[in-house]
Amino acid sequence: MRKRRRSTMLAALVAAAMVAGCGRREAEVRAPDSWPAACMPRPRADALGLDAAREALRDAARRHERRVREAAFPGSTLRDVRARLEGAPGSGPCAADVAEAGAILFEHEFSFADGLGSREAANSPVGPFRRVHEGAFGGPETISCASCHWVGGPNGAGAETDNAYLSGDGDRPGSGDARNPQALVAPGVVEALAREISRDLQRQRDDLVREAGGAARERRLSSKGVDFGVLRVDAKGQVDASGLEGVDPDLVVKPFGWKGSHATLATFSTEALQVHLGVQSDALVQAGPGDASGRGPDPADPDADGKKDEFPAPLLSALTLHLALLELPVVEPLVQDRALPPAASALLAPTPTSFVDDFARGRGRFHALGCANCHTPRMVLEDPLLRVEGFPPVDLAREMRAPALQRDAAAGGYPVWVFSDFKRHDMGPANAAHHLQGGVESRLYLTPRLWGMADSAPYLHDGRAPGIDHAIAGHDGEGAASRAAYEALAPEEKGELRVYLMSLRRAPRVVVP
Amino acid sequence: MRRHSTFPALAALRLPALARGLGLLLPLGLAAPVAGAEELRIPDDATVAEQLEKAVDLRRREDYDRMLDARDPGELAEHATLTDVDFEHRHPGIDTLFVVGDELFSYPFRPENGWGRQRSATGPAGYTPPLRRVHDGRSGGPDAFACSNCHSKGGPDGAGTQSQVALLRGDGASARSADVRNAPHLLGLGPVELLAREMSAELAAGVAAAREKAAATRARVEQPLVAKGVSFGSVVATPDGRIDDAGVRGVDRDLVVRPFGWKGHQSTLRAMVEESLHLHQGLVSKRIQLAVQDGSVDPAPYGRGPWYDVDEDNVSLEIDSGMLTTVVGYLAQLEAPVVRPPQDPGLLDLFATGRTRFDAIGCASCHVPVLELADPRLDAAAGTGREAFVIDVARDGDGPKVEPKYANPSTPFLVRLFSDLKRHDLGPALASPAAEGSIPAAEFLTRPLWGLAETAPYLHDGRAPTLHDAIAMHGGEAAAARDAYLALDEPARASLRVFLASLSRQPKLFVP
Repeated sequence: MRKRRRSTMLAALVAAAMVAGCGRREAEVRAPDSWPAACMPRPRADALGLDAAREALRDAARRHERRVREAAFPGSTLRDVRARLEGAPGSGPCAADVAEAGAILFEHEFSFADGLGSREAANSPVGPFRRVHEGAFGGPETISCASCHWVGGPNGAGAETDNAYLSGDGDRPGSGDARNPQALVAPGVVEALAREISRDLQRQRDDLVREAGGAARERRLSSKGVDFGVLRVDAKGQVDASGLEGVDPDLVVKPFGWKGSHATLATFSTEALQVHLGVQSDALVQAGPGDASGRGPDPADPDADGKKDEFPAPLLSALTLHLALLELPVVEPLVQDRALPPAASALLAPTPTSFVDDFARGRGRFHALGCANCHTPRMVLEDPLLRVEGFPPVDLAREMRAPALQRDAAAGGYPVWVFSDFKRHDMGPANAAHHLQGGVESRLYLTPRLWGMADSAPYLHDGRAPGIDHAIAGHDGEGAASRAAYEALAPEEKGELRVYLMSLRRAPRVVVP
Repeated sequence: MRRHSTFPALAALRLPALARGLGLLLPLGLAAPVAGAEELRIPDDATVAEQLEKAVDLRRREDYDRMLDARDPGELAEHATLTDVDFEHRHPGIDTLFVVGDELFSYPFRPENGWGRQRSATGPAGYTPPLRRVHDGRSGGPDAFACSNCHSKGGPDGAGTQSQVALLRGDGASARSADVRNAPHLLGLGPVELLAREMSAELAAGVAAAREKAAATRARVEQPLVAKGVSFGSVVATPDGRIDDAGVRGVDRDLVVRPFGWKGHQSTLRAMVEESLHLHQGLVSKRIQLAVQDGSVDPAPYGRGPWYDVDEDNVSLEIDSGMLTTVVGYLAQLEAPVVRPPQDPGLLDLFATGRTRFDAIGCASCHVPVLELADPRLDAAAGTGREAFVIDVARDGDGPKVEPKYANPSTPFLVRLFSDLKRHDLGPALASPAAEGSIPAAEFLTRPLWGLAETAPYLHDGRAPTLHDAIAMHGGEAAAARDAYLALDEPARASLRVFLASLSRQPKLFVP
């Protein structure tokens, strides 16, 4: 029971710190209202073109130089990133520069001198790493973000081997909750969408309270075509949230984490840096000492590793911006129309084959089986501006890597094929977690976004499903009916649905791993 | 070929910001100018275009294969499988072995392929047998679906990350009960297996010579054991033909050099692959299955079922010996790591001093920079009793390869692996919880350092996040070299780390 309270507290504390941090900083240093006039968005070269290939090789060369330099002068990478982020308002770095700095942070391998881990971990007789988290404090179990986000390419998902064991006893994987790292697919768009949904729901609540005017009333809340249940207000003006579905009483949609425990990339990254790397951001430190951050004697160094100021706010913002500007995935049936030579002497050449028909039938089944009830295919984002602390608002449509948001006048905004309703659902006892995460009930999980899923195996929150069939079989609770419907299909009908799902892919990019 | 547009003006615009950032990176009075990021050398356009086309083609094939598999399950496994029967009737080429082995290496095995043990009934939670992150004694996990899921860092066939450590020989539940192992990268393993074989032969020849000399001279002969310049202690031969091996060092008493595993417990890629498939994926090879049947192997680590399904997952013949041949043939064709000196002139200068310091302070006495390989031919089917499938590890498959020493056909090859392929005592702090078979707890094989740069964190259990930590944690036989490093001033230490961080792999384009 104690542990449950702890993890709930972590989310609350981090959230509080973020709010407090925002207010404080706004009073001191106001973020500039706009980016420097000379800033241009990053060039959107063909991701499989020669320019992209050259850039990938240059990137690899820079990475190698950076690594060698870091070996020579420990701490140089983070010093470099901090220097890049400096600059007077109006003449500071462009969004693209900030995102580039964030990309370096994402793959940076932290050392103890950088603030990795805690004193406790560094002095532990079983080594500095802890494969299973200990309570809300976490590991650390690794040294970089990129180490667990690689499947399907950079910023991708994690393999089953990368599972985190949250809120455990520091020793037994079975004591914690296994969590498979999720692919970081267009997280900026996700945050923006969630914010719009929250705004809609809160507006409906305010309208309800105002219109009730002392009478008992109720109304169904909905946003972007998704129903979030019933909100009631009684004669005294008290709001009753018990009829809500899939969202917290505060009507803030939290789209990050398997359980839907974080509303913003910033709070999500704050927690991830702490629990997986033992790197303490300003936001975490400002939340004060506790189970989540540690109780060292110096409040500026709660994990007592002798390193203060491990991850100042500008770094967190850069990391956030890097993630926020990652590209959208694609929905694209495979058409094998190019004559490919055989890969090897004894193998047959891939024959020209179109999967378009299977794709089309699979799409029909996706809807007919009820998958689309929760995995809502399309949502329309109205406003592509994303706010990241310390920086001017970012126009995702302009700054994102391609494929980027595209405005569709007929849709009234920027349609995205996200395959989630941004709601939590009861996935049944078979999927119940051992611990509460962010106060979310053990059987509730946020509908995972299926976009890009072809490149993110294994599936499910604990990565136990190596393929699509295993993933569907893992659906229970509210997903049980659709699972049963799928299992009743003929083999070729199942194949069509799988072809459709495997067409939800990341946009291919050339990289040097 | 897709078209692309260029944005030279934009690149120029962003240059000042980058240079400004990099300009601050000159601590310790290193005055050399920093190369602008845009000036870094990359291959010429023709090479880039060729690499790109290869990468895009590979991706198209993978897309196609996995889409076929989505429509008709089993297609992928089929494409990733060559059985003994295929080898006999289809005579696949060396390139085929590479392509198929590549697919097999990243194929996520599923319960229906024999992944795991004791398949449970279909149901929401039980459809897939649970992963077992902490191994249960010699039975292992399974802790992974695919080989590539612990060999991805720094690129395909790379090392494992810290989160991907294997928790070997545990109690199945507690991480603390386990012997932690960080997966090493897999490049250049073909030459390593062959080096070890040649060294074993040299040691055997030494013993034979001693025995002969003792018989001929009717006197006790103490024979130093040396292979490729590395000393493995000595043996004493007596005129009656007996051998006293008490003086043997760094290798098993049978004098077989075993270069695989952190402790050096396997001598062939084939044995290593077979063992890994069992421990990490719960896949039982046909050879083991038949050995269980004829009682020549203890079935306990594999399960309690009947011989034809000893792991009780309703799948028999999970790994055909042809599949092992395929993976061995694939691994033997992988590229060799390369040394990539930094391009910045100041760092390059440090690199050069670091290289000589590596020898001077004693690192090179165990991490021997070069071993010479005489015969680059590896039989991927060795041990199967089937027709040989010979890979030339200096020529076949992916480049770069180990380089020839001379320009003649009988030249030896220079394997720059930075290891003596010998076991050493590294002191109590690094010791395993227990001995591994006959290998004492504190003994480890000298880890080859080639390709080191992309493999952080370091050491057998990944406890060292940085090169400095890794060096500082050396003990036992390496204590003197460690102390020599720690006694250096910081710029001198830095030079050594720069050299080590330059032991890398060739950058290659991929479309993941």
